[in-house]
Amino acid sequence: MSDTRQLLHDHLFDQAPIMIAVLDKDFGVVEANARFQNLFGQWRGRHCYEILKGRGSPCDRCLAAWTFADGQVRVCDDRLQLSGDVTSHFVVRVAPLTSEEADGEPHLIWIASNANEAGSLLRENEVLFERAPSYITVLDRDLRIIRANKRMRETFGRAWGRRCYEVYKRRDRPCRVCPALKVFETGEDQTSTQVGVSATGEETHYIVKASALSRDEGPDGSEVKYVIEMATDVTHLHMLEKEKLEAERLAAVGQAVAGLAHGIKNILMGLEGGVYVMESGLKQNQTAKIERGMQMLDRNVQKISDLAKNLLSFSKGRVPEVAMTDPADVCREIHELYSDLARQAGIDLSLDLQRGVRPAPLDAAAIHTCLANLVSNAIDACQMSENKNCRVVLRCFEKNESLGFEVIDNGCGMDYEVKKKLFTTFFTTKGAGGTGLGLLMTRKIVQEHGGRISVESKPGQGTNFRILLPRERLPEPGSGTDNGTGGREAGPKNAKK
Amino acid sequence: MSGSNGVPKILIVDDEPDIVEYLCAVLEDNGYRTAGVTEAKEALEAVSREQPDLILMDILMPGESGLHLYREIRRNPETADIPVLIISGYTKAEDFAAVDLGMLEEEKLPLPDGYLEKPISIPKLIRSLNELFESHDVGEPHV
Repeated sequence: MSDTRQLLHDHLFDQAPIMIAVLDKDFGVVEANARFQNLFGQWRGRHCYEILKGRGSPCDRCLAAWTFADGQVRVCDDRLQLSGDVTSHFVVRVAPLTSEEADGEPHLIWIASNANEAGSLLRENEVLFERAPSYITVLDRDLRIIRANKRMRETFGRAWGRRCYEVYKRRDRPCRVCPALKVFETGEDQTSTQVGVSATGEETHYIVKASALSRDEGPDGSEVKYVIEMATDVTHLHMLEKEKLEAERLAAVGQAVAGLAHGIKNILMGLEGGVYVMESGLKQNQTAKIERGMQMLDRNVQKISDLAKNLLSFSKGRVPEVAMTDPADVCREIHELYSDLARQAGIDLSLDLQRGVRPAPLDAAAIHTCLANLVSNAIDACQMSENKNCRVVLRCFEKNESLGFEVIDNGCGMDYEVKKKLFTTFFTTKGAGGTGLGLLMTRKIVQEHGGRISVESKPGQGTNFRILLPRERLPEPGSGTDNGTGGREAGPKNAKK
Repeated sequence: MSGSNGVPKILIVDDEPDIVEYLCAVLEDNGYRTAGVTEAKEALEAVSREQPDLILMDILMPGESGLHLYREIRRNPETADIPVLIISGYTKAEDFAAVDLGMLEEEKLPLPDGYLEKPISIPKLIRSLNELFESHDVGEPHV
């Protein structure tokens, strides 16, 4: 065995695909292998700086000098001169050579290997994998993590050999939607948004992309052997989004409160007017005027009472109840509720329900209120219009992963000034008939569902109110959305009206 | 322009019938003649019919807004010089922001002659009217 070993050593020195030299403390080359000589030329009696750098004196930054000084092994990239004045890149390793035969004189072993493109790429990939500001893992078909990069380990803790769902999610079984399993199944890239739990127990949101890393030719054809998962942490974005939603909700309530003063002004003036007209009638002894004053007082007392009721329901609100709801059902309820009223007013109220609109987690009673407000407004707008063939259409549709509702009328429409004022404050153009709360309430509900409401309108031509609720921003089913008081209600409840 | 007996006539435009009634009663008791309409689209016709010496109007009304009405009044040479006093549930600054009264300047139309915020103080209203009539030299109310 030791003969074989000796033989191997003897041959390796000359046959290994690397360049080896031994240096003395003056940087003289005292031994070198055949490959060294082939590449760098004659070495006997020469110094390494002459052979490798074409210099007459030692280099300014000399690896060998440092290693002679401290005995540490060093590795670096270096450009060296080949015989024939050509230079090339190498990876150089310098280590102390201790040998009894070396008469106690210190020597160094100098080893260089060609730094080819594949090697550089490999090292780049290593750095990319390890240092990327993402969570990167390689999974086998059992969903075991066989590699995990630094950021992943730092955030989620020990990963190697454990299953991805244990590490990412602290679960004991695979997730319901698993991009890695899908890649193993289809071979296609998968992207999904996930929520995990970090090693310190914090909710971590990330967007993960899973791709096939290698394939095996099995008996049933090619199958994916490993999957690489690359995840970008979006926890900060998610928090910002949540804070923004919260701010929007609070703003809607704030605007309602600020606008309340304006709403009261008209009523107050009506009351003042009632008192004035009545007093004036009394002074002039005119019964008719006294009666008119009384009627004005009555009407405005009624208005303030309505306002108070509406305001209570707006500010105190009800606890939102979110459950999986078929949006088309809510539309049908509204249609049923208003069809008599519309018919009596000579208005054609119709439904336009797109096929295949999926159920969604909604506060059904709130969406009901929302659509009821819009349909009731549309009917009012038709009644104010001179158009004899008035119609109102309630639409429900799906667009770009958003659930949509539309209430379209060809009634009196609104001009730019009225449109601008619609959602900004407590505002009504209905005079005695409106409280100015309906649209504020509608907007509040839409915002609580993470959506947007917009309006298009032309005076004399009609109005189109559109609600878009992005599905990814809808509240969780079975949970209450925050109602602005900071409280949170949970538990599945049937919110169907 | 003041018609019979030199008593000025005031047209009141507000979508709240109670406010129209109230202001009519106040102004009549203060010696003015009045006419009232509750819809902006009827107002233009009322202006040409009643030939008021002053218009008291809300700026935000359903359908065609008060701003539209105001523009029409100012663009028509026959009515362009009638003083207009705005009565609004909002402050002047809020109306300027929301109703784009600033657009009037771009169109080189004069701004309203006065601005009163609801609820209106009656003494202030009468004072404003008297000042406007003095500066426009339109006769005296009949008290």
